[in-house]
Amino acid sequence: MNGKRILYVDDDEAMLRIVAATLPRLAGVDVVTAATGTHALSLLAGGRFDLILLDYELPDFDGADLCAEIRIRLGASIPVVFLSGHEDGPQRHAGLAAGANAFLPKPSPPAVIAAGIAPLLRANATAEVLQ
Amino acid sequence: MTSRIDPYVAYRLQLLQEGQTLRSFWEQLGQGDPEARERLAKFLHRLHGTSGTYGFDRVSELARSLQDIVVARPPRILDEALVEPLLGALLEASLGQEATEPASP
Repeated sequence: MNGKRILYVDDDEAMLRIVAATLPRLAGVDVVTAATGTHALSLLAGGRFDLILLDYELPDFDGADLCAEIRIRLGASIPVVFLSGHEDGPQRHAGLAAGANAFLPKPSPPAVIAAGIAPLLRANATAEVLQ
Repeated sequence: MTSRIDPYVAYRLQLLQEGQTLRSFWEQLGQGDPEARERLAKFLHRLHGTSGTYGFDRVSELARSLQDIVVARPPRILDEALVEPLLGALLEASLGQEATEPASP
């Protein structure tokens, strides 16, 4: 999994800090962070990422709308995973309907987040090899 | 965006501030501020998620319980005693006294 790069989008600074500090060791990925959907779209336009981890409630974007926008701009190949406390609500359905691959509950320990994204990173790597 | 400060140390310090914010929001609720309930519910939702991610399970569980109460009950019957367990848990967590000690990154 080494060499993979993920984008984590959340407006909670403490969440950005813990994910950026733990996932490199737990998931073998580099973590780039953004606090708004607008910043996330800007980063996605300027660089390559292997997975996007999204909070659902952002200051400038509804999570499902941001996911749909990512799908329009980047297509279906990049995995999008929600990390949100709305896992029991209608947001889960809306997020998955907008094209997300998975919906992880918040809170989840960092090791669970790492385990949740690992299969998608592996699947994406396999697809790249086959292309 | 990220800093070199240990995120667990930084979050412990933040939990002290969260206690003050909680008390302030709770007072606004008692004063009849029409937006206070939604503001408090959002604060508790975020606290539930972030504290739980850091391994402060008691803070996280109490925040979730209080969020459910705040959403379900009219503000006039929200007694001060309801918020005290979470305020205590926030103080204990910030001092490193919570039973569930998070693993360091």
